[in-house]
This record gives sequence, structure tokens and C-alpha cells, in this order.
Amino acid sequence: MYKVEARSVSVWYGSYKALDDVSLSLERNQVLALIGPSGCGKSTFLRLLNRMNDYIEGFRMEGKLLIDGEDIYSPEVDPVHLRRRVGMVFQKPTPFPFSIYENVAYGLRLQNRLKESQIRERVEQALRQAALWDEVKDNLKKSALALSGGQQQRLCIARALAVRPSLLLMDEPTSALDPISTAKIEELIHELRQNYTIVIVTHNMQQAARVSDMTAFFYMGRLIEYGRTKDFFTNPKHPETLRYITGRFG
Amino acid sequence: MPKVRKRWGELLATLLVSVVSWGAILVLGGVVGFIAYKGASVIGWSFLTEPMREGMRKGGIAPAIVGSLWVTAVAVIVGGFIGTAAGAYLSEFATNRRLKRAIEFLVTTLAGIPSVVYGLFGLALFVVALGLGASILAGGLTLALLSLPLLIRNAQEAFSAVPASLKEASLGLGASEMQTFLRITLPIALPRVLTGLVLATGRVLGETAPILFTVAAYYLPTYPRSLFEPTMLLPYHLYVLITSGVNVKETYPMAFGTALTLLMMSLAFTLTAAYLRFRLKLKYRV
Ligand SMILES: Nc1ncnc2c1ncn2[C@@H]1O[C@H](COP(=O)(O)OP(=O)(O)O)[C@@H](O)[C@H]1O
Ligand SMILES: [Mg+2]
Repeated sequence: MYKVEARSVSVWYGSYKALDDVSLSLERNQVLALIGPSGCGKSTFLRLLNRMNDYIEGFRMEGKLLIDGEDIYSPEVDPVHLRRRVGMVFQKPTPFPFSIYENVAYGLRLQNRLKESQIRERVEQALRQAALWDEVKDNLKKSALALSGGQQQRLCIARALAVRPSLLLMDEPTSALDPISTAKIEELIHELRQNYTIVIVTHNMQQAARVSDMTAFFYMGRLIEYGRTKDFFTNPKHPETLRYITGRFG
Repeated sequence: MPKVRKRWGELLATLLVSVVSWGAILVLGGVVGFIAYKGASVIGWSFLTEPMREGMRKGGIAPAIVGSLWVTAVAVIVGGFIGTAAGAYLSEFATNRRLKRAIEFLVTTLAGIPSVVYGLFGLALFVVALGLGASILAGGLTLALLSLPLLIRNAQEAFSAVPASLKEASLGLGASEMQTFLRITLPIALPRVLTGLVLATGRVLGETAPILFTVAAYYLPTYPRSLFEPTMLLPYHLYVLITSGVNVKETYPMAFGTALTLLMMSLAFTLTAAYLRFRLKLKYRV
């Protein structure tokens, strides 16, 4: 069974067709990079996976989208429950104006089943996973807003991990960060791959090449090319892919 | 050449702006100063804590202060809850665009209705139809209605100002829309919501027309014991002191004392609002 499987997925915003007949499948514990010029539908595809597009007026979708073999757009699926299995990290860090600790505990408190001691354990675990623990362990009560941009983004990753999703979505998670923070997060993605399946949108082809196992190239709402990252950059099949990865349009 | 002309234009504009703002400050200071000058000699401990005596020529204004506070409290509590809920609905939960537009239009229209019309409406609805009689409850509800447009608008703006990225982040972590509202949107918007509420308090305190037919007593120098009684109130007492005192010469200074009290109370709420806003803004940095 695939972790993620899209079957002829099309998306409209009102009358505008943002995705056109996209099909792809992704194995467990793989990193998938979505690349393509801006406006080509990368975020749209990513946000399909945790049903974040549901809130957009005029949004309509056709086709089937399966996660762990389950049709996530079937009426029985509660998007709120889905999002506990599918974590998301956004382009700009979005720390809540709470303490570092409360940020990471946020998703855990929603479920109302854990004792404070368990929450504390999972907060520490998540912060360690996000490679942030050593930097903040003495300041857990401090406001998350006081952290640097790179730390804030790792906090957001920790916050997502604390809920223990199996699929992690990242929408250009490093585009607002400096090179050192970017390197840290890429390293983190490498580590997380052992336990998570990750779908990451990036406009940076080197990044796609560095962090991903699979790469999907979108262009004007269509999935032009999809394959193993190794082959993708050394031996693209489509002329449009070649033009894009050699930087001749964008 | 154009540069020079631009400089002159800027200079002129700056001059104009400072003259106008200083003028406004002077006028405002003049009004406050005048009332303070005329009223200060009257105000004292006994004036603020004792009931009226001998018609209203002697004694203090305590029952009017207490009455005003009661009516205002009812108005702000009821208006605060309804206004915040309606603002939240408009900003966060309304999915039907037509209904949302209709409500917004209604709110705008209500904001333009003269306050005396609210008074009449309050008389017809709360005093007569609902049988509340002239009472603190009827007056408070009328004032709540009057301040609703302002409170709804303010709450709506406060909730809308919370970054969508934070709401999305919360939803992305598996929070329901209601959880997102209660745990993220509401706490972050609270400074602005409260600021609007406290500002409305200052305004409601001074309203005269809506209380005329719904709660205000001409002369009732006792303290209200329940929400179902009429009471004296500061703005109406002020009006009475000036227009229908038996001997206006005697009551004239008391009118200034009453005006100064009212002014100080309104000012206290306005300053509280400013302070609240400042403190909570620091806390949440929004
Ligand atoms: N909320 C929306 N309403 C209408 N159109 C949208 C919305 N979001 C995105 N689009 C359109 O859909 C297309 C794909 O957008 P997006 O998925 O964000 O692209 P990408 O992430 O690749 O830059 C763009 O043309 C964009 O203008
Ligand atoms: Mg995007």
C-alpha cells in the first residue's frame, strides 16, 4: 500500500482550474519534493493532503486522494482527525504568542487525554526530534516570539511532530530563512525520513536534489514529470523539465 | 524648481496640521479646564458619597453615580457578549455570504440611528411590551442595543486582524474551528475587543436620550436595590439640575460638579482602554 496516492486529481478555485488530472503515488518513509514555477499548483496539491483547501471559497476537487489507502475526501473522514495524522509546516514560521512549551503542547492539549507529565515528555521528545532541545531547554517558559526565525521554524516542526503524525507536509519551509538555518532544517529532514513520510514544496532545485527521494515537477497545474530524484536531475524525460531545472524559465 | 515648490508645500501642510491639532487640543483643554474650574469647588467626599437633599439643592449625587454605574454595567455586559459573539460570527464563522452582507448592512444602518430613537424603541420594547417598566434592566438593554453596532464592528475587526497564518497553523494541528477560535483567535484579539468595550463604557455612561424614557428618575434620592427599579443617572441629573431646578442659581454649581464627575468617569474608562491596549499589546505583540 502506498502512503500517498493521487488518482486523476483536479482542483478548481471557482472557475479557475488549478490542478489538472494529477496522479502520483508515494511509498512510506520517502521524501517527495514538489517543484515548479510559482503559481503552478504546488501548494494546492500539498494542501489537498490535509484538507486545508476546504476553507477556500469556491474550492472544488475531483478524483481520489488516498492516504494509507483511505480516501481522505470521503464523507466519513473528519478533517480534524485527518490533520492529527498529517502535520503541516508553513512557509513563514507561525509560532503562537505563547511560551515555547505551550507552542509544542498545543496540539496535545486539543485532544485532552494526556496527563501533564505525559505532555511534558512529548514536548521534550518533539523538541529533540526538531533539534531544538539543547537551545531552549532552559527557557521553555520564554515566549516563542523571542526565538530567531530559524529556531521558530524548528519550533513549528516540533509542534507538528508532537502530535505524532505519520505524514509531514512542508510548504517552502526554508524560503524565509538564512543559509545556516536552512542547512539545519535540511539535516532535520534527513533524520525525520526514518520515521516519517515527507512532502516538501521547494522553489530551490538544489534543495530538492539534496533532501528528496522523489521529485514531482508541476507546470501550469499539470504534473509534467514524476520520478526518482536521482534520475530526475540527471536525466529528465520532458523538455519542459529540462528547461526548468537548467533555469531557463521560472 | 519643483523641489523648492515641494518644500514650500510641505512646510505649509505641516504648519496647517500643527495649527489645527494645537487648536483642537486648546479647545478640548479649554472645555475640560472650564468644567474643572467651575466644578472643582463643589466636588468633595460628601458630594460623591451622599444622596441629594432638599429637592436637589443640597447634598451630593451618589444615587446618580450608582445608578449610572448599574445601567452602564448592564449595557456593557449584555452588549459585550452579544457584540463579541456577533463580531466572531461575522469574522470567523459566517459561511453564507449573503447573510453576512445583510448583517453588516444592518449594523451600519443601526449605527446611524439617532440615540433618541433608540430611547423610544427601548420604551416600546423593553418598558412596555416586555413589561420591564422604567428600570435599570430596560435602560441597560436599550443602551446595549445602542452600543451594539460599535461593539460588533470592533469585535469583527479585532478577530479579522488575527493573522490567518496562525488560524491555519492551529487548524493544521488538528484543532477544530471552535477550538481555534477559543484558543488562538480570541486570546490574541482580546486586547482589541476589551479596548472597544471599555471605550463603549465611557460613551454609554454619558448617553442621555436613551435613558430618558427607559430608566431615569427625576428625583429618587435612594440607592437601587434591584434591576427592576428606576434610578437617577448622572447625565439626566445634570439636565434636570440646569433646566428644572427650583432655584437654578443654587443648583448651577452642582450641575458643574455633576458634569465634572461624569467627565472624570468617562475619562477614566478611556484611559483604562488606552492602558489595557498598551499592556496587552506588549504581551501578544499584535
Ligand atoms: N485561494 C485561492 N483562490 C483562488 N485562486 C487561488 C487560490 N490559491 C491559489 N490560487 C491559484 O491557483 C494557482 C496555484 O496556486 P498555488 O497552488 O498556490 O501555486 P504554487 O504554490 O505552486 O505557487 C495559482 O494560479 C493561484 O493564483
Ligand atoms: Mg506556494
